[in-house]
Amino acid sequence: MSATLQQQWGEVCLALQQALAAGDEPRFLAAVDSLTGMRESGLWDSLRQLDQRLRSALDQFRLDPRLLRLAGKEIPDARARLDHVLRLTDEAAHRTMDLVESSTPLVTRTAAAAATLRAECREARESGAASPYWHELLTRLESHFVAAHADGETVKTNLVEVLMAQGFQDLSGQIIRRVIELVAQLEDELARLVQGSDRAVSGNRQAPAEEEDTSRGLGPAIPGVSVSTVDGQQDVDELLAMGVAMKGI
Amino acid sequence: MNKDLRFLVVDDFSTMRRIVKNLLHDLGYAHVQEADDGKTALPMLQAEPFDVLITDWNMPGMPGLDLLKAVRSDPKLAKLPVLMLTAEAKRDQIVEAAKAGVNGYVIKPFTAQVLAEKLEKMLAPAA
Repeated sequence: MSATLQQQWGEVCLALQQALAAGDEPRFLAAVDSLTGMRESGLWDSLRQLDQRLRSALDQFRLDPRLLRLAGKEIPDARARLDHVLRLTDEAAHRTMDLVESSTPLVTRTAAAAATLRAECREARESGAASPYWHELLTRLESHFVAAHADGETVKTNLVEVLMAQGFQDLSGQIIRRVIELVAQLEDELARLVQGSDRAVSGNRQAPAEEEDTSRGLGPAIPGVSVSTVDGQQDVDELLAMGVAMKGI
Repeated sequence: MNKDLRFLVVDDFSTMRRIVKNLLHDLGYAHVQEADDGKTALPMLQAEPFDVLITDWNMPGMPGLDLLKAVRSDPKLAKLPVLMLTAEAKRDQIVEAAKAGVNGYVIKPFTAQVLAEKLEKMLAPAA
């Protein structure tokens, strides 16, 4: 190590020392120049190498078709998918609450009527005017109304719980919104990175959907994302019939 | 409890507003209005008298904490009881809300019972 150090720098250091001892300023400054020159050229070599490596890494990165597909199609699709999930859960939660709101008054009315009729049955039974047949019937009716009232109250409590459970839409929605934001940022960053790689991006933005591998399934159709999807069960039936007919040919 | 109290429920998710509105109806409160963030809530609060504000924290536009601060700094609204109903659960946030003058704080997901309890507690001194 010290040998190469000596080889590389020994001569110029010696010249520096001699010039200094002799008080020869021009020679001293010339030696300093050659010293810094040597140092800089090494630095520039390293920088040049680094630059080359960085460029080739970036080129490979830009031209990676998976990356282009991600930036141009899959990430925007992912956002649309998440938006769609938000819409679906919102609709489902509201539909559930519609049903809860229309069921609650019914069960409230039935439970209240049961409580009143129970009291009336009891009064009639205890008045002593009823024949043994009616007495027995009133007893059974009264116990039915007791149960109907209790059941009604339980259903009302359950309906409140069903209502509360719809809070999932708010909580999951907040989480999904965060992910949508993150995905949007990622999309911006990727787009910036990919920009400038000439032909690539625009070509890939129109990446044909038929490249999709359907063998493992694509999941539910997403409006604005999925292409060439069926429109309702009737569409399915017709396509199926057509497929069967073609098979027969 | 005074059943004529007027409530303003502020949440960006319509499902949550609907849940809270239903629960308030179950508790006997018929006067419930809704807003979807602080920006729409504040003019409503300034325009007509409300007795209770129930607000979410995390909302686009004006978040609940800013709404709370705006309410507290408005002389006409400063004493309005405010309940935060939010998924924000960091200790610092709850301390921050308390410092800003919140009267109650309920963490989502919550139960009907907890909401009823906190409301009762919050409104007891005022009633």
